[in-house]
Amino acid sequence: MMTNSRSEGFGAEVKRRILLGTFVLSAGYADAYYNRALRARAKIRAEYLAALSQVDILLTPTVPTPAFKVGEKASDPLQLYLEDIFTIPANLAGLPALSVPCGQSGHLPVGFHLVGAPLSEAKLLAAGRLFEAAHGFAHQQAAL
Amino acid sequence: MSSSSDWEVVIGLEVHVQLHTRAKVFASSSWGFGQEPNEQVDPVVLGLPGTLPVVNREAVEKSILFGLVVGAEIPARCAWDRKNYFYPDNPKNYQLTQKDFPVVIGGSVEIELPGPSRNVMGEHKHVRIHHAHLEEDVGKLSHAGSGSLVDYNRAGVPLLEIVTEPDLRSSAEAEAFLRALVAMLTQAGVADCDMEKGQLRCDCNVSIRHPGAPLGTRTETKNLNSISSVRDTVIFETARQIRELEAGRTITQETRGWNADLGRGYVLRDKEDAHDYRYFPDPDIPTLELSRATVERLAKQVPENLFDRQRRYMDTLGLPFTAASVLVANRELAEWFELSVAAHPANPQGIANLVANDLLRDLSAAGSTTGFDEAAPAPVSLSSCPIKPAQLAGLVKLTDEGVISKQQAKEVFAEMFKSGQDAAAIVDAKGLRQNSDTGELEKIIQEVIADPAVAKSIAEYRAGNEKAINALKGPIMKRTQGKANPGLIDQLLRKALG
Repeated sequence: MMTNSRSEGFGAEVKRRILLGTFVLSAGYADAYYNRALRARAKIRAEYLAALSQVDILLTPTVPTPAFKVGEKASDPLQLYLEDIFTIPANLAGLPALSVPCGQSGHLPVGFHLVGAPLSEAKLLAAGRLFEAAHGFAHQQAAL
Repeated sequence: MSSSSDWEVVIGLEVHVQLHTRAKVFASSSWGFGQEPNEQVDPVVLGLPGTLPVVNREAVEKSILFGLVVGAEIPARCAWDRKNYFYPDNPKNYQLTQKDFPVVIGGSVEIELPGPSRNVMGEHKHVRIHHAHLEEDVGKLSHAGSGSLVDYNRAGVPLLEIVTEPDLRSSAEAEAFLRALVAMLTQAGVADCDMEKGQLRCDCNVSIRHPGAPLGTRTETKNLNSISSVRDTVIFETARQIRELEAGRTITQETRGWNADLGRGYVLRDKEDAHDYRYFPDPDIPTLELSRATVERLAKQVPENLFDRQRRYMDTLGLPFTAASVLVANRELAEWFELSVAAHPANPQGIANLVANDLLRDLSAAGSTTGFDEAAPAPVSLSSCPIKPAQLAGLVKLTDEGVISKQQAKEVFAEMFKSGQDAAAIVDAKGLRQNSDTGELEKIIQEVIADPAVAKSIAEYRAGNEKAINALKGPIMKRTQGKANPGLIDQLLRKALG
């Protein structure tokens, strides 16, 4: 039952991550992958904190490109992972982040992404609210 | 080439102790012995989706207390890891344990080896603790017929794994270490260590080498549940490894089991089959800061080390080793003894004799023996002891003052244990007060020695037969109805006989 429910119930991406996680934690590989990744994460956090000691908020696009078609990149997991390039660092660094719709590219909606220092949620929300108040499309729907 | 007689055995122990706490280590479920299967579980214990573990403060504090008892370093923080494995004794498929940041680092346990005879103290040495980590116990499987039954009552019970350095050099040292460890754990209230209930289990690492040589390949015998199993495992494994090496074979690093019924070990799995636990930091439990204020508060709860206490009893109170070692083995008994001494400081030895012999015997008559250490005296509780410390002091004082004899003291003690009355009240009620009135006694002595029936004995005594005087004491004692102080009779009789 366990084998069947897991082979049928888990999608390709979930299985990929389970296998990858098992592999990088295995004896002999934990140091090369997992512990190295932990060090990389610590470095990412340190760099963010250094940047945030100079400025209040870091601003990037939320994702690198406007939305692509369903299934368009399903065969290329690396391309899919790259879609998260601006959002994942905040998770890794343990920092609050806010995505705000800010306009359209062609007929597709796009947003920007604000990252703040630890416990700066109020500041991020205030900045998002300021932007929405100054622009008219906060309540617009994209024409699909 | 070295001769076969100079092999040295090197032993390291991993002792798993269930901590004395009300709740489980990461869940609010209670735990205890003798419940119906799977009664003491909750969603966290079962690892159901959406549940989160929360560290039990009591379990952490008991762990820190252990560390302070053995003089360990309590680090600024500790953290938990997931040890992944697939076996139904653990519903989550991982055990929460501490791999890199344990709660206790270092420390040592003083041990006492058996002396050349029962009443001579043996050698003392210190066994270093590598670290101790706080983890969760796992469930119990019973294999019955075609299937297996799972009981998760034990799953999630706080378990402190105490890991020694490879400092032990004989089965006797391993035994002495476990005895000292159990005494320290129970006296500090860290754990109850009842082996019959599985509260203390031991993994035993054994290797052999020629003295001074690098450590040999070790084997690990797992899940030993009594001191005698540990001792027998060391003896068995030492003999087996010597046999292998002297036959020109090598020792395989392997995990072994122990069959106590057959008195022999067996291979469970070798190194190739070793589990890969894929440890990683548990994301559900944050790193725990161990505050210095907590450590300082717990430091005040550390009881006097039992061997420090033993030295104090022998050096300051002048107790013989046998009495001192019996008293310090039980903290409650030792503290009771000290209260009694405080009430009559003139004769600690007299009090110690009554406590270590008579009181302990009568108290343990109704008690049961511990499962873990068959050789240990029965555990006794003084909470229901009918005699209070000051009352015992009163009895010893009456004896010291010559009011009653030592023989009569035994009789009074028995009555005190039965009724809880003061010694003086019993002495008066039974009319035991010794006659120390010299005038009346001198009169009786004169009457007795005037009796022609004893003339022969008197003549013999006067002729230098020292023993002949004893024949006179019986009639004197008889006429006083046994109430006369024997010392006083002797003194006055000699005076009367010139």
